[in-house]
Amino acid sequence: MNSVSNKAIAKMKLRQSIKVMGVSAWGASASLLLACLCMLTGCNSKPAAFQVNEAYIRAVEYKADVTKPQMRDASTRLSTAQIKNVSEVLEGLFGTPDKPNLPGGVGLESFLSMRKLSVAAGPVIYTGDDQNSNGLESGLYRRHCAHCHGVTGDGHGPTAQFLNPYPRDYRKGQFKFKLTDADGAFKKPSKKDLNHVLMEGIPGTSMPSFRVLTEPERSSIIDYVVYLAIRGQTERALIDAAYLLASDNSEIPDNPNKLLVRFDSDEASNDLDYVRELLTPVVLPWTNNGTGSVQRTIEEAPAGWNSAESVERGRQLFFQSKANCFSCHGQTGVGDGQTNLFDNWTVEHLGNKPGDAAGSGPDGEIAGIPEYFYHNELAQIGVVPPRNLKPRNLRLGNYRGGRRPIDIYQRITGGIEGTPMPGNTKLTQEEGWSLVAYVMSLPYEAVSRPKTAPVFQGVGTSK
Amino acid sequence: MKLTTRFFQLALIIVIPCLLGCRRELPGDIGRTNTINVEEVSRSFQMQAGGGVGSQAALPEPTGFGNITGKITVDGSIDTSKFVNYAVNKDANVCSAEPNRRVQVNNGGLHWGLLFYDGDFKAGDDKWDHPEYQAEATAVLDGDLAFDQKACIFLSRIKGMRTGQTLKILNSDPVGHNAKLDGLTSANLQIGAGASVDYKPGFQESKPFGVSCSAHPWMGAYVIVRDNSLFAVSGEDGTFEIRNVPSGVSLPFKFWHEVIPSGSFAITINGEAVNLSRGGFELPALEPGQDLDLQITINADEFNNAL
Repeated sequence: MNSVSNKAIAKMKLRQSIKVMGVSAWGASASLLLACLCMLTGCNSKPAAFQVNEAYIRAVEYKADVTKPQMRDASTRLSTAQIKNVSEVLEGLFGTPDKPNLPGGVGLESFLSMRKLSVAAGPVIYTGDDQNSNGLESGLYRRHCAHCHGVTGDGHGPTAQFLNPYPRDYRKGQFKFKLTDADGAFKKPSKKDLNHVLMEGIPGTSMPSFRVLTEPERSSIIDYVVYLAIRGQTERALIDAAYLLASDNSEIPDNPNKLLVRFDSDEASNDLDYVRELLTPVVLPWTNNGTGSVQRTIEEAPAGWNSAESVERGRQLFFQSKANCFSCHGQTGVGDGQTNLFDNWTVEHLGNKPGDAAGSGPDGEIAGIPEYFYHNELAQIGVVPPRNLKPRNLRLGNYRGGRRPIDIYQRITGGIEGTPMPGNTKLTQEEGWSLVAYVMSLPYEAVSRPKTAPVFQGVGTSK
Repeated sequence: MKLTTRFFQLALIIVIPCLLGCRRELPGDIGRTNTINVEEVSRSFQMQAGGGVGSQAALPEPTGFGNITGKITVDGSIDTSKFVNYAVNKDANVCSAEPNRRVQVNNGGLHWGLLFYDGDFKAGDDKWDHPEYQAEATAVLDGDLAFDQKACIFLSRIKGMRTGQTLKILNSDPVGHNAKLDGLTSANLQIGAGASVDYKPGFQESKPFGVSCSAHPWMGAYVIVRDNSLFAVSGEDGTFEIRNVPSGVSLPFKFWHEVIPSGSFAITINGEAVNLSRGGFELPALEPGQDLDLQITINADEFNNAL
């Protein structure tokens, strides 16, 4: 009896409290449903879009006017109309992430396959019942690459900020590990080079091997990565050109005559011819008149290349100015010779110019890195914090470009594009291989061996 | 009545945060592109597919050649206290830790100022490209014209060269250097003590690119590659000379200096105020055989503000 009345009182109290809130159970559930609906449908679900390279725009502006952004004159900035104009040209040339396009008349049609691009681009869509990648109709890039390298290929995917090193930003069109670099100048990678990276991954980084994919799938991804690189390079060229069209102080920034392509005017056709001129130096190094970049042939290592004498010759070269390895990799090869270096992708985010060593630029200095430009401009648009590039520790035996002797020979003689590692065109073949032998011997020198951890002897047994 | 009001209030409280929470302006969000414009570009390039080079607008015919000589003067004094010492952290017995003199003015004359022609040009065409310069189109820039470094300082702060030429990069130091050239044709070349390497560009650049040394990261200079010979770097006294400039055609030029690259500010040319538009200005067409004297004056504040 007592308990029943207690229950009745509790029920009454609940009803009262609902009434006090002024909301009936019906109202509460309806609003909950509405809220859930809002969350599920999303409020801003646009189709996938390429992001404007705003970091580059900021860098270009900053180079021309190093004053603080809030003090910068509007005439030294690209106006929204100019940026939009560049985006329209770029979309006309290369399409969208869902519907890629190739500009005609510049030799790209024979170099990249539209069919491969359409398999790699777009949302992940399967045909057939099995959800394995062989049934993939489109979306290879978004399935396997975009989470790190970003839909735009800007190295700004959702996971990018958690990785070290950061994923590659393709938009500079520079790639590190390839067999095409010879005679001192860097060439574009061949598709074979890119396939090698997909097959082997990059040891010591978050880039895995993609051997699980079929050859046609890798080939499609390669074409798409090249497409993203060419698109990114074109964007940079267009931004440069738009910026140089500049307004002077007396003119309004949105003056139509300051647009790269003046649509709806008689000048549009001339302007598009100019865009074609800008596109040529971007595309030509890739297509190389149809053949694409060609890998150099490295003759086989001479007999005895890794003999004790050869290793000793390599050791001497390591410390001579002819090879100059010690200067960055350090006296002991642990990579402590020059530790305030940056790669090409990061240098751009520091806002300093050649000759401004880290910390000596007009930016002031925070912990040895001139971070003023980064903190005031780039951090606000989501660019990942700059990290410096340490020369490789050669005693670990981990080589990002591959551990075959031929890989190391190519790194020494061809250099690594985008990094401070130069190529050496003056070494004889014999000297080159001696250096390879010495570098590959470093992890096995006694000094490289890790100290053995003390063995725990158990309580009471230690002396 | 009260119930409905409360319901809407509650619904609003939930819906508004939902909307605000999801709306995040992404970097570079510039709104929708105009489909008509996009299609115009696409169509224009598809029409060219397989058709080779697009129809180039006909260039006017030059009537002959003239010469341009002159001097770049800095009005006022450069605030040299803003120069920062080279941050030497190795090879101190070889490398100079003197202040990096980014603006060099001698008796008012600006050293290392670059002037270059920024218009259309027909390389190899006798009317545009003077035979004297055609002969130099594939020359090797060696000797006095080479790009040298000493005491870990590049001896030229800015170097101009032509697309087909080869630049000798020397190393006059007893330590190894490397030249990292970040142009359209990028290269990073190891140069032993006293040795030299060759750089062959191949593409015209619209602006100078940086040259640095990775072993000594405080070192820096610039190189510009043009498909014509119509450029000059001012000498120690600020004077420059550009010979064999096509006459009878408009002459868009650009002024560039490492501290104020592609700047938009007022200068005076032969006493008249001219507004540079990102470094650009236009010279009147020359008469055949004319020797144009250009006296360019730049206010020192332009440099001081940027230093």
